[in-house]
Amino acid sequence: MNPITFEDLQAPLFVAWQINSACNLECLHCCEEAGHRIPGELNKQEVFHFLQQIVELNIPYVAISGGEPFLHPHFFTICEFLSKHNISIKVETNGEFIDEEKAKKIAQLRFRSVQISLDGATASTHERLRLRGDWNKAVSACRLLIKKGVNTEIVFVPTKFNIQEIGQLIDLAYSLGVYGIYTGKIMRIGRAAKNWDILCPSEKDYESFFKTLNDKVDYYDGKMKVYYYPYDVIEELKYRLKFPAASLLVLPNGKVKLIGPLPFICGDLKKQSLTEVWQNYKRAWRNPKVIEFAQRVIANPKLLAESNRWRKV
Amino acid sequence: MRKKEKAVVQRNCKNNKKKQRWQKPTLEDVSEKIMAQPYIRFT
Amino acid sequence: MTFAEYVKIRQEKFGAVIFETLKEKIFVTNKTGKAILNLLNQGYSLDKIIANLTDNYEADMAEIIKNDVVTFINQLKDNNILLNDSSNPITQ
Repeated sequence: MNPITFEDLQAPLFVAWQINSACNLECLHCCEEAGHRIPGELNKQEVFHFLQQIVELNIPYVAISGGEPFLHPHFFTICEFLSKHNISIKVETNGEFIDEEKAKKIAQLRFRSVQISLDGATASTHERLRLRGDWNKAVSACRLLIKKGVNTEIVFVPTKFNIQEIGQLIDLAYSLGVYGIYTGKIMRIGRAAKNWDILCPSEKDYESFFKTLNDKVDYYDGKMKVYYYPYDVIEELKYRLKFPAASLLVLPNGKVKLIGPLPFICGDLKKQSLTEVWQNYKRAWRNPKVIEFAQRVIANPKLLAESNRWRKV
Repeated sequence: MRKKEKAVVQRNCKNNKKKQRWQKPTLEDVSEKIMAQPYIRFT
Repeated sequence: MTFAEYVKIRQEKFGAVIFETLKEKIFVTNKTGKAILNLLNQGYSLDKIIANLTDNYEADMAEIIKNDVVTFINQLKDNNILLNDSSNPITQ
C-alpha cells in the first residue's frame, strides 16, 4: 500500500470549530482576537445543516472552541446532536461558565474531554494575562468536571509573566486529577502577535521551561499526560506544507481556514457543501499562491500578524 | 434441465467461484502526518 | 473482543481509518484489514474470523491467513484499539 495522505481521505477526520467569537475575557495572547461578535455568524439553521453533513461524512471527532463556546445560545443542542451520533466532542473553554449542573450535563453527553485554559498556578498570574478572567472559577470548573468523571485537560500558554509557574501548574493539575496538560511556545498570531514584544519569553526563560517540562514528563509518566510541542508555529507550518492535516478549521461565520497561521480561506459553508470545501482544501495546499505566501511567512514570521486578515484561495 | 441436475451445477459453480487473492493486513500509524497536536491546532 | 471506547472506524477506498480519539491516534489499514475490522465489529471470534476469511480467499493460503489475522489482531490490541475482553459474549 502506498503511503496514505490526507488526499486519500473522502472527508476530514477532525473538525476544529470556532463556534462563536463572543468572549467574556480579553486575553492578551488570544489567537482569535475574540471578545466581539463578528458579522455573519452561522444561524441555527446553518449550524444544523453543517452538523448534518458532519454526520453524513462520518467525521469522527469535533473540537468546539470560540470565543467562549459556553456563550453560544445553542451550545448544548449542538453537543447533544453530536453525542447522539457517536461523534467525539472536545470543548475548549475558559471554564468560567461551568457549574455543577453544566458539569453533570457534560458527563451525561459523554464528551471526549473538556479543555480549560489555565495560564498560571496562581490567580494573580492567570488574571494578569487573561483580562477579566477568574482563576478560581477555572480551577473550580476542573474540580466539578473531574468529580463527574469527565476527562479534563489543561492548556497553558507561556509568556514573560507566567512561564516560571509551569512546574507548579503541572503539580496542581495532577492534584486536581486532570487527564492531561498541554503547552508549547506562545504562537505569534492574533492578539499575541500584536502584543508580541511584551509577551514573548526570552530564550533563557524557554530553556528553563523546557527543562522543567522534560522533568515533569518523566515524573508523571503513566500518571498524567504531560505534553508539550517543542517547536514553534513556523516549524509546524513547514511540516504542514509537506503533510497537511486531515482537518478543517471552521470559523464562526462558516468560512473555513486552511490553517491557523495563514490567512487563506478555502471554503464557505454558507455557500458550499462540506464535501466541496474538503475538495477545495485539498487543492489549496497545492496552490502556488499559498505555497509562496507560506514561504514568505517562514522567512519573515512577522507576517503571522496577517493570519486573521482572511483572503480567499 | 431437471431440478436435481440444476442443483449440482449450482453447487459446482459455487465451489469454483474465483476466490480473492490474500493480501497481508497492514496497520500504519499516521497520527503525526494527518493530525496536528492539541497545542498547535489554533483553536 | 470489543473496540475501545473512543475508537471510530471509517471505511475508505483504500481500506479503513481507525481513529482513537482520546489519545488522538490515527491508523490506516488496507482492504484485508478492513474486512477483519468488519468481522470484529459484527462480534466474530478469532476462530470465526479465520474461518470466514479462509472460505473467501484462496484455500492454499489457510495457514498464512491464520498467522496474518492473529498478528493483525495483536497489533490492534497493542495499540489499544481492541480490548481483550473475555467477559464479553461472543455472538458468532
